Amino acid sequence: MENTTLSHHLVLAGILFVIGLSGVLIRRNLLVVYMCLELMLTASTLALVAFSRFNNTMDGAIFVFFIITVAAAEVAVGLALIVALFRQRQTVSSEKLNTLCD
Amino acid sequence: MNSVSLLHWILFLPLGAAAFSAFFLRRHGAFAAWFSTLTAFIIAGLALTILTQTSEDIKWHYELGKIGGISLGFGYLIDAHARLMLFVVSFVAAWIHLFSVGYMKDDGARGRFFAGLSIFMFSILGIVVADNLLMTFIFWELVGFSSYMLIAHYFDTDFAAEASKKAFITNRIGDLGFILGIALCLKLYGTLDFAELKLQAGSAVPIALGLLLMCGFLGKSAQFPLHVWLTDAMAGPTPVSALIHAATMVAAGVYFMARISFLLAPEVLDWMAISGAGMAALAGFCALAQTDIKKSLAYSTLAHLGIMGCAIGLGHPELAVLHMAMHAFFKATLFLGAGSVIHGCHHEQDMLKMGGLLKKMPITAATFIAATLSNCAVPFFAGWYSKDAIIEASWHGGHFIVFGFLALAAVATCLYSGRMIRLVFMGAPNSKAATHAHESPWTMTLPISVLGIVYAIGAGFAANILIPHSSLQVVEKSLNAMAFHLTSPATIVGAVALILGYLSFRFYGLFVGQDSLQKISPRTYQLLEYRWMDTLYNWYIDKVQRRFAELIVFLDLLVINGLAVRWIAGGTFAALGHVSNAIFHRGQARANAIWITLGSLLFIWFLLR
Amino acid sequence: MENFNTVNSSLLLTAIFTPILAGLILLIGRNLPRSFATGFALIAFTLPALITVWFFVPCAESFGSVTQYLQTNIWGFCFGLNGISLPLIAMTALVGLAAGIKALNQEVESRNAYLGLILFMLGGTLGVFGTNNIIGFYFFHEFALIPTFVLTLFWGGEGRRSAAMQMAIYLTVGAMLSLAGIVIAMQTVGLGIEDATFEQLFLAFHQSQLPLPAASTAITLFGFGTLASLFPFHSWAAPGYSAAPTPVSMIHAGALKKFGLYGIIMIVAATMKIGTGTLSDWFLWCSIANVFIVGLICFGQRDLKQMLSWSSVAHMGPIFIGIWVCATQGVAEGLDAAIFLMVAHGLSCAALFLLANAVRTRTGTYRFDELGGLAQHTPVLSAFFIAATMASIGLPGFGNFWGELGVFLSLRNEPFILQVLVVSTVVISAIYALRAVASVFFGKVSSAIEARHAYAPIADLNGAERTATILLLGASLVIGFIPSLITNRTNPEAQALARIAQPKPFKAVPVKESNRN
Repeated sequence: MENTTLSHHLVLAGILFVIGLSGVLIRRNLLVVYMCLELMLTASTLALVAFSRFNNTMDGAIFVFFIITVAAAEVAVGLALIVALFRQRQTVSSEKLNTLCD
Repeated sequence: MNSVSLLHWILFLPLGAAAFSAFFLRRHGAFAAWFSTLTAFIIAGLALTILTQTSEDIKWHYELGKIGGISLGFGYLIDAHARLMLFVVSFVAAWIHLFSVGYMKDDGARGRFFAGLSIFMFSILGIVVADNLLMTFIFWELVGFSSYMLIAHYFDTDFAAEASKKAFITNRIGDLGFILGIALCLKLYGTLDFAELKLQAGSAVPIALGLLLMCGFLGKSAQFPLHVWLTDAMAGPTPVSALIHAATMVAAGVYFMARISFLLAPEVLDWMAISGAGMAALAGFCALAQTDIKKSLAYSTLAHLGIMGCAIGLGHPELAVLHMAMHAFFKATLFLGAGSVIHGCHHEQDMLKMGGLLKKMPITAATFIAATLSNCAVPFFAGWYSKDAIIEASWHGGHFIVFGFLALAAVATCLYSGRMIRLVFMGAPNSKAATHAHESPWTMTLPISVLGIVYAIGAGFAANILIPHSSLQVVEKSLNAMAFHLTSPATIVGAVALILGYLSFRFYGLFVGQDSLQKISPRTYQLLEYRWMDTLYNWYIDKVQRRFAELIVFLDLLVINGLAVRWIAGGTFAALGHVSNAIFHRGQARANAIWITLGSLLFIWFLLR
Repeated sequence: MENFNTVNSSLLLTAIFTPILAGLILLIGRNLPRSFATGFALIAFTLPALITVWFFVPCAESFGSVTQYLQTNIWGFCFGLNGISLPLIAMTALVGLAAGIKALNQEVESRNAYLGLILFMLGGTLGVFGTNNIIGFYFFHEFALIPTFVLTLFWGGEGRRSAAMQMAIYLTVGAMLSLAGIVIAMQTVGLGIEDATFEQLFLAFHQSQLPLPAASTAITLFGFGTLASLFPFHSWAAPGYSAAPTPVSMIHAGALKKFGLYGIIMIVAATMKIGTGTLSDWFLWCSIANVFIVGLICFGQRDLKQMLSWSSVAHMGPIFIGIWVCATQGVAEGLDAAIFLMVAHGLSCAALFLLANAVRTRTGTYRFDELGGLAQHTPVLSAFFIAATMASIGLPGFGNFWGELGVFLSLRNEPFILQVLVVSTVVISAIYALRAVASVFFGKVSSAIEARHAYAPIADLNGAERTATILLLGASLVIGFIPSLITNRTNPEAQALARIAQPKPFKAVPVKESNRN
């Protein structure tokens, strides 16, 4: 741990973020897309923790608490939505869900 | 009480009476009538008090406020002109109020009627006492409004509705010029106060100023080309015609011109003389081709207003004011007499259906004939003192065209007067209504007797007894001079006219129940009916103004609302929407995500650049 | 603040926030009992009127300073009144009270929400004239606009959808344009956007005499112009007012629309003289089109409410011209008269909308060809309508007269043809207004009205409508008889603005940094 720097953390967070983003962009299954979104959120959380640690402030850490709380609530709502969607449409593929076009 | 507080009372008493009647006496017609009449007599009494107790000019001024640098003045200036006008207005109005009590007895809306008369009193007295142009204009507008309301008294008839509108709008056209005149006056002299203007206005007054201020006079006094409203205004009740459209309001224009005569350039005066005299001759002959007794009298009023305007144009404002006073007496009597006849004949206004009323309505007939003689300027009757003096002034001033027109007007006056007397009072009754005619009650006969017998005959030779002395300051010289001019050209004209008038009286006895002129020469009659001016204006309103307005509405919808807003602005956005719909909005959440990502990358590049 | 006056300031805040809070309570408590809601709303409508009229009671001199009568800071907003906004806020409160009485008298669905939104609108409008800082002024306008759209969309009459949409687009775009212009102007003279007050902006203009970017003045001017229905940007007004519920038309046409004019006076006018090139000429010609072309459009209307809506656009013309002549020619009368006309027009226009709606509720129509002879059934309504019409066409005795006449007289040094075009409004407005009176109230009773009367007798004005009309026309009469009530307050402001525009040698001296603040 002694020789890790802020950059290491940020690069890791960036990699996580890009993985998540590419998942969001490429995958069609909403469930997977949703998990990738969570990955992106986690990446930003990681970056915040790193900033907090290396700048010796508590701002980022407090922010993280909020993010985790909100994310928990969000997951509950999001999954419920996806389940409800599947019940109605029998699919969770984002290709088929294009009614917004109208 | 000093004279200024008396003037406050004179001016604001009728306003209070009007407000009181309008708010509380709407359903108590009889009470409203007597209340308003009492007010009018109190005003007359107060006016007499002022006129007999003082003889110097009364001045009082108060500033209501300032708009920017313009002082909004409110004040009184009682000079010699104002004294005569004050007497005429308050005195004639009081008797007309009394007459109305009887005439409007069966009317359902007496509260409204008398409130209207009171507000008219307020307005006209405001013009009389005003000491500046702005205040004159304020009351000028109020007079127009009260005239509008009173013409529209019988609003349930389409004709009255049209006539009231026409009167107001025509007056407003005149007021347009008036406002421009006030603005010009303010620009030139920086003040609107009569006394200060008189000091500042030198000999070289711009023509434009006089022309613009004259516009107000053209509208209010129904002069060419804004005279069309006056004959239609007869749609109002007869006392209104007598008070407003004969004796006082239309004369207010003359009074105003006399007051500001120092602002009128010679060219303006020339125009007023010529057009006034021409108007007098034309309107006089037009009176021959009217069967409605009130319309015939309305044309007669037009003629006399023309003569008054002509007098101002000739440079004799004092004669104009004198004629205004004399005319108020005899023309009010004529209208009230006509009202009495109409009342007696159960609201029949067609002269051809009258006849033989001399025996049925002796008092009315006597006063009407006396006033008619005064109207015809029979020597030593009131009208003679002023009218012949004006004709004489035109001769002595060397205005021979004006003299010619005035002579024609004098002849026309006698012709239609003879016709009127013959058709209404002589011969046999021509309809059931005339057969069953009855004399009017005392509330109506008393006013016409006072105005007709006493004033229409005696206001000239007995002026010193009948009119407060201080009111006569400005006209005294003319009155005295007149008595010795029996050999002037005006007298010859008068004599010829009177003889022709007698012939006309005989002529109209030729056919019973028909107009002799129409029988003999229908084309002349038709020409004299004088429809073409109204036809022209109607054509303008229908074919030009309305179509132009509709075109503008259409263009507004088409160009601004349609082309500029809907097509260009709306179209651009719609096109953008279509494009973006085709490219961006595919309904794919994934596509949206891609665009968001690209956008964010662009933004990051922009930040890091 | 040397003129800080605790009592007056808290009164002003009460006047502005009482309607807003009451509106909030009514919106939340949609099931509050009817009688409670009525009483509550009535208090909230009355209080601002009482307070602002009370501000009028002391004479102008006792308020002290010229430009600032009272001022207080709260939550970063600076609330206060100056000589121009004092008459306007009093007019707004009176119009609001009349509109409130009308609204309480109406039977509508979800009454509490309706009343609450109208209270919001009133509170926002009072806030527009009651704040001194520019962002607050802007904020309150938007605050009042949103309920306007909602009310029009849900409670409006015929064609409410497209009218509300059109209104929303026009007014939002106009407001955004003016905001952009204001921001540019403030940056140019070096003022902070958050807390600058009108006085600071005015002084900054006055001291710096910087030629502002013409584009900024242009978008501010025409943005505000759109909000006040300046000629080519007027298309929203007539359909909007026709479709909106009557209390909304009253408050918007009477009071909220004056936001645009007030903005032009307080923000644009001071810079119109300097460096705007032909812009002010364009403004002038647009204003004349308001008088003349819109006046002619009024001729072509066949519907009473349409006609009134158009005429309220046409009457903006003289106000614009009054502002123009003060801001560019330095004639103080112009601004004095324009403000007078703004106040008087608010009162008469609200009264006309109120009475036109009374005609509609009794006859079921606004169309001229179906109306006629109504005076026989409803004498009081007719008398009031004629009085309001006479007020709007400038009969002496009513406030409009001084406003119109003042504008005409302030043009005395301008070219004659310009004067004729502007003064022609006295004829044009008389023609269409009297035509409307004649075809609605005079003449024979129309068959439509006859049929309706046979079905159920047509009643005259009820107590609420009478009270509201008397309130509006009474106020107009008071300022008509005592014009100094308004001119004493506006005169110093008008003189100050006129001094800027008065011709003087203009020196393009670069401004030092120290002068800017």
